[in-house]
Amino acid sequence: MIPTLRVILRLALRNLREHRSKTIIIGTIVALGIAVLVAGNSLVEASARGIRTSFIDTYTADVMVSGRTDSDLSVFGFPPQSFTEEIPRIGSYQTVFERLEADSAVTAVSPQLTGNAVVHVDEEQNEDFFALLLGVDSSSYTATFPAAIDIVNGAFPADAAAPFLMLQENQVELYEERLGVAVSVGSPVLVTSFGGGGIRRRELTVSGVFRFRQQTPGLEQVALVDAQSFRSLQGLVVSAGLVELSAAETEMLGATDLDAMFGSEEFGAIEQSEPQANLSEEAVLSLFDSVERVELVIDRGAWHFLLLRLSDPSQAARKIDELNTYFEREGIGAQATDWRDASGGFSSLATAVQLIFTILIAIIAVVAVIIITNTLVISLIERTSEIGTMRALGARRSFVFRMFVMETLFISWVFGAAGIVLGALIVVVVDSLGIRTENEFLLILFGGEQLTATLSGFSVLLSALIVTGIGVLASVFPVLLALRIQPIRAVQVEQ
Amino acid sequence: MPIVTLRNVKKDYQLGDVTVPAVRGIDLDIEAGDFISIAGPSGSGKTTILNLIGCIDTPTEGAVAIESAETSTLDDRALTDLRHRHIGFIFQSFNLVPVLDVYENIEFPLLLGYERLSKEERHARIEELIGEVGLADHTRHRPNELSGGQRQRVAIARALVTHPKIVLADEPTANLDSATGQQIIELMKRINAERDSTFIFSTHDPEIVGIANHVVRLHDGLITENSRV
Ligand SMILES: Nc1ncnc2c1ncn2[C@@H]1O[C@H](COP(=O)(O)OP(=O)(O)OP(=O)(O)O)[C@@H](O)[C@H]1O
Ligand SMILES: [Mg+2]
Repeated sequence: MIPTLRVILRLALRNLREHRSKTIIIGTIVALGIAVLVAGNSLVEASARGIRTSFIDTYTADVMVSGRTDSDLSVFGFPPQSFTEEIPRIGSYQTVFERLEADSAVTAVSPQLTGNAVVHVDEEQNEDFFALLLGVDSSSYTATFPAAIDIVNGAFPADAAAPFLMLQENQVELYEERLGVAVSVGSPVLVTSFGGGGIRRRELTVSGVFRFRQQTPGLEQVALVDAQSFRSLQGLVVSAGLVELSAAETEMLGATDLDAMFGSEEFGAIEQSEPQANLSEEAVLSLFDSVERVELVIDRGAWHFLLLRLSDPSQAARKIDELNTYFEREGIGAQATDWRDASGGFSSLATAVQLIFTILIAIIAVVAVIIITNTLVISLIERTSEIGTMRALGARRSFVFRMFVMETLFISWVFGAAGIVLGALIVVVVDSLGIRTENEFLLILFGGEQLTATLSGFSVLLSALIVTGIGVLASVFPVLLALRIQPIRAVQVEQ
Repeated sequence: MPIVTLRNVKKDYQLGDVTVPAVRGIDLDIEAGDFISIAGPSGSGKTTILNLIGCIDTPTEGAVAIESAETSTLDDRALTDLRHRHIGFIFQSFNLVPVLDVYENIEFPLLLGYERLSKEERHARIEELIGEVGLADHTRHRPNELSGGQRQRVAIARALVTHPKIVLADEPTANLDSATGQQIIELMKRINAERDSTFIFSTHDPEIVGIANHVVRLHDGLITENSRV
């Protein structure tokens, strides 16, 4: 057996050397193919990881708990097509919160409210700016997202119950550029919200200007606001539990437009909110006496989300299952999802990058298979008489098969290894170049401001597997042809 | 007992819609040790007959038996084994493996997984044959570094290395000048005498036909003469 293998190896090596152009064509395809795969895989992996960590660290945390819904709900709310849908509140909030606080696997919990608003900066000028309000509790927010923001100016108020409004630096710059008005700590801005079936307007004072460490295109308008201001803006009133409101009453509450009643856009005419107002039965009962009293029934337990950091983020899926089972069992109107769902359309960008890369690979693979097959068939035709002779001399089909497989394997290994080295080199070079971008699309693609690539054993292995697959696929037809060469071909010259 | 038996052998080739009868019913016995010449004009069926005896082609009708073994019932694997065990081939165009040198070409049939020979045994066999065909000085030459006559000598040594009972040679001298051709035939004749193997060769050359001890003449796919000297 060993002399047979040795002669097969010898034939394969010498034929590869003899048919140099064929070897070089196939070898180059294999080497470049694997280099592209290794480098591409590393980039895509790094980009996916970048997107993942930047979302988890900035917006979604490891697990998102929300109210129950069948629609796609992210921490940014419903997607544009379901814009009018109201974000469900977490049912039995206190129970859920306590359950999570007691969970040893959960290291931090940040409750959040999400809603859209319009910011009116200067009363003199009729220009509004869109804002995506995140209603948060400042201390839980900071604990859950310690690396999310840098505060450029101002601060969260020391009093946890105090109202606040934190604007992003880029928005403040935008206001100044567009209106020529410098908004800074202490500036009053008029915030209009159209959640909860009505339009409400509040004057809020800017308490700080911040910057997200990881900038995400499409999320420039995110602003942070205290929960009570948010609820007041959105009309999140007690609807169940403390008081029972009839459907008609709820509708009335929702439809109540305080500002429309005051009928003026003047700042001074705006009724100032008193978020700290006590919720009492008396207040509820007097609900319909005065529209001002609506503020009194603000549901302080109304939260859209609870964002959890886990001690072991890799256990997120298990924790999600566990929580969902718990919600189900207890009949709690809540659900848990992972960062992917929580980031909504943004995580699908990572998927899109991967998809584009996969399509690219498929195209490269098909082209490679065609070229390699073609080259092998041509070389096979040249060697028909040689193979026929071998068959006449007693070479079995298995011998011919092994001879071809040996050639293909040898090409794959040698040039594949060269390709892996080349791919790794590309990765190292790209990484050391420190290519940075401000471009929005590239930001997403890179998964951050800097293009990084990490060479992982997985991507090398995957690439090797794909290239082997290409080699095998490309060899099938030529090898079948070779096996069909009859010994008579030793003496029959193809005309 | 004849080493090769052909009984009512017919071979048709299909050329599109046309059936070309190459061999039209042949009975032939070849005895062990014969040095037999298949003669006849171009297109008379010489190559066809040799291919049938060599088991690289199958008859349309009739039976071919090698060492009393009927070949029509054998599958590809069994025919391959039979060729390796019993038949040595010498081709008109030499058909050496271009990437192997003289020594390796001769060694090739011994490396196909049949014989269990030690390296020393193989070496002895090959060196002996190289000496016999007069190529001791060219052991490490590739086929493209050899003359036509030298190539055919390599082919003869390769055909003999497995010690086959039958050696087939279809116009072994056609690609050689007549003097070289004569030498090749004489070499074959000498080996035939020394080794007691059966040589079956075809030729156009009347002078070469004269060296044979058994002459079969073909015309239009039929035997017109079958004579022993
Ligand atoms: N593969 C084939 N396909 C079709 N016809 C063939 C084939 N091989 C041989 N023939 C035909 O069969 C007949 C016999 O051919 P064969 O090659 O046996 O003759 P030959 O005696 O060897 O001739 P030559 O002296 O020219 O080599 C010829 O008419 C030839 O044209
Ligand atoms: Mg012929």
